[in-house]
Amino acid sequence: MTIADLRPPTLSLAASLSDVTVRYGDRAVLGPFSLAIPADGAIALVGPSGCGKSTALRLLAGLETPTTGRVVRAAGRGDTAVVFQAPTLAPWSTALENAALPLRLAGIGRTEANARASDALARVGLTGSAHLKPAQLSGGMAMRVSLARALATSPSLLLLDEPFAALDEITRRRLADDVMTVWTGPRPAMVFVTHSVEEAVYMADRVVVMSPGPGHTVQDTHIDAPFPRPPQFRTSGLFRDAVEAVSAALEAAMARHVPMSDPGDAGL
Amino acid sequence: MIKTLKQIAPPLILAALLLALWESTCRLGHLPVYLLPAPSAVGLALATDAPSLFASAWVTLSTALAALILAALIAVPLALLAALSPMIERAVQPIAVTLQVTPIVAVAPLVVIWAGLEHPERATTALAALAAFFPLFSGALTGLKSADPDLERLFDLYGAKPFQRLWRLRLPAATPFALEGLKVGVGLSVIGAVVAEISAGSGGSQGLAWRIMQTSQQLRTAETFASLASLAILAVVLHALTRFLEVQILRNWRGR
Repeated sequence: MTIADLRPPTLSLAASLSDVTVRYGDRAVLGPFSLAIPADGAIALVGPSGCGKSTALRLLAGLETPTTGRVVRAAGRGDTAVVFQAPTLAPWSTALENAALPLRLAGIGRTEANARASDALARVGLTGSAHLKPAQLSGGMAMRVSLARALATSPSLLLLDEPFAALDEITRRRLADDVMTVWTGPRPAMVFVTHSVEEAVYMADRVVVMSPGPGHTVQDTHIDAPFPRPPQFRTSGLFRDAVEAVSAALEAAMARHVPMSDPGDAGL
Repeated sequence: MIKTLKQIAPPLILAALLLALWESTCRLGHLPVYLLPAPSAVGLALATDAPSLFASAWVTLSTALAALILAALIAVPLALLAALSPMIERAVQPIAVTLQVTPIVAVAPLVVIWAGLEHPERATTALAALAAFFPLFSGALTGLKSADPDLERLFDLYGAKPFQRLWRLRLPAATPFALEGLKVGVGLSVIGAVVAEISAGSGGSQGLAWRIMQTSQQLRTAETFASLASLAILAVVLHALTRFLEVQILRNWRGR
């Protein structure tokens, strides 16, 4: 029984995956996998490479349809935002134009879109850089623009696919803090994929460990600390215990694949 | 200042040395003028024929530019269609490649006949356009398909309409590739114009290539060299202008 199952059923969900599987031709990449995302949830997906965690994210974004199973999205179009591993900015557009893009695509006029986008840029600390193009931004700044673009539409579901993987440790931590605190209104439901157990424990109220592909849930850990979490949370006993528990589950999940490369079998 | 000097000095010095070697070979070796005129003789021909060389250069230049516009008018819409539909791309691509690899000289006689012998300027423009077509088409098509797949997914996510995707993603993403195609296309349009002038034969179009044919047949070799030099200058200037345009647009495109 997972923590999610213990929550009262009346709690509103931002999205859910029910027994979904995804296969590409003969290759099963995900599932059966289930995940319920409460409207205020912050869920981290961790798992070995190729376990289908990015696929799960794409299902939630509506960018892909499952082979079997059901995807329910309370959030409509324009109400879901995705932050990719790379900043994924249009190199020919300024930071402001990039942040305003989702609003412009939704048919909002330039003046209002720019006003909302510059508000989003201000929240990620980039007011002075609105006129710069991606080539003129550092990696961390570009990632912030990417985050501002996701904020601009005030989404109710925010999906992050290894958002800070390409950044240095310090920038990474700062951005993790920002993601949790930049909201003016209520925080959206968040699901993020990460390779870093520490990041998962720091940012999430639930850490879901997935098995090697086709991935399913092997552990669902509740991280019982309120948001926003202070930087000292990283040195607390609760944090260390959770990191240890998640790491152990992750290692156990990966160990099941080890015999493939076990030296004892290599003689064949 | 010193840096620019360091940049331009070596080629200038080398050119001056080669010219000096050429001049002294002609003078000391007593070579006949029809075989190899001295640079001074070529310079004289350039100076005395300047007005008519200018007129011929204009003929060749306007042929090349008209051909470039014609080729772009066909290549860009075709690339748009091919980018929108993989089926159209599959249909068009082999034909485009075939046109590209068939030597333009071999096609010239046919085009001259089709254009009508009394309209040699149509033939030269058509041939030069044919030469310039492929890089323009290929550059535009590659560019239109080059958008970051994650950006494409972002456009999916926000429910972008086809026109929005074209206008806000595909076209701007295509810009650097289209400019690269243009640069190659400009060079090929000049080559195409030259080939066409030579193929179209006597007096049809009195461009620089026609002058080269004309003067060489009469062994007025200094004038041949003068026409050749004019053609080289024309091509270099055209290339430099295109390069300048490319750099300016790209600087604005990516902001530095």
